[in-house]
Amino acid sequence: MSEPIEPLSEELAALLGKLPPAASAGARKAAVWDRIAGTAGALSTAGGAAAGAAVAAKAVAAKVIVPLVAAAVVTGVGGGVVLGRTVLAPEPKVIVKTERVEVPVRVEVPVPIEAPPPPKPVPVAPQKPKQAVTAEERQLIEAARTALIKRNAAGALDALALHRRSFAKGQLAEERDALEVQALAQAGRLEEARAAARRFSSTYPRSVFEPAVESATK
Amino acid sequence: MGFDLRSIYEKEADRVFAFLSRFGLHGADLEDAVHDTFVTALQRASTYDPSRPVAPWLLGIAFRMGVARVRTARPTVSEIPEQADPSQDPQRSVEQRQAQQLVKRALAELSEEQGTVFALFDLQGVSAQEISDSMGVPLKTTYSRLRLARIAFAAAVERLRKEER
Repeated sequence: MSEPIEPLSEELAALLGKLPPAASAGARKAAVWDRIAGTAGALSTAGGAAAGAAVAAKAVAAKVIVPLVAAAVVTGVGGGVVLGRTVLAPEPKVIVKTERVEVPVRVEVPVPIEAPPPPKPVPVAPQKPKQAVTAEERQLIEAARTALIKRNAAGALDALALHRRSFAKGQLAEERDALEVQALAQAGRLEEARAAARRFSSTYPRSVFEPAVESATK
Repeated sequence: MGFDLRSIYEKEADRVFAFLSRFGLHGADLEDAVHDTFVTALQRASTYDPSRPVAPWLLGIAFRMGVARVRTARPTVSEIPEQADPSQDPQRSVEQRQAQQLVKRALAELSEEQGTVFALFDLQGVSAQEISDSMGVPLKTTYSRLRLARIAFAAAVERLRKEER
């Protein structure tokens, strides 16, 4: 029943014929999933904070709140949250469960409203925003910070890398670069941490994050 | 309505890997792009309509990831094939790289809808019927999108070739 489609022009067929074969997930499928689950786990714990922030935002801003599917819950067999690339012997079983939470979408929040902060290893205050930070950008930074607190350095680095790719010059770039130094140090990559710390200090002289960056590399 | 990322990954990972490899991505770059696609899918779960097939929505995200990488590519890293096949004649591998370079740049100029259908049909050999099924659109729609996509792709290739000269 399929209507025949014309063959490609000779020129295009010749061009496409030169392409190498397409890749497949192959043997890397499980390893890539572990990375995704690690980042998803970091995001889900930050999702709780985001929901808290949403409630606060609702009270203050009282703007449009729409239901959004959020908060993916990732659990590992043997208890606890899946720790990024720390691949433990039993393959982590991931159940992604959604719940409806009230999260503001594209609401212009006048000031960044933090959820009641979990105990932080270092005092990291949000930088003064020039304009409202998008929820997605903040979510990634929160995910990285939560992962760091849980000593999931690989998860933190993944979230920070994703932030760098999506928001290279984002509002929270300074915070990201500071967290990166801490994540590298936590991962035991001290040389890279020190190099990143030097770049940080020259890019952001007198940053509010400087003490955290400095103590991470000691 | 559950959004089960793991079962989506189990089912669609191969397709997403193949799809993103058409943007000239290899090895770690390809894995990064796949990782970002699925994490973004999770973050945007609210934009997915569970009554519709997941593939077009997911490939739409993958397409934007691929395009973003073509635009910010560091050619030195991503152009080097994962493993050079020693049995392959070097002339052929140069041609292969040039073709890949041209194809990914032309692909990145298409709209999401056209780029996706073109990559699936002409680059991955997925049948029009299967594309229609996974996109949830009539076969006729797939054909007309494909025709338009080919025209746009051929025009982009021609323009890019002229620029190179």
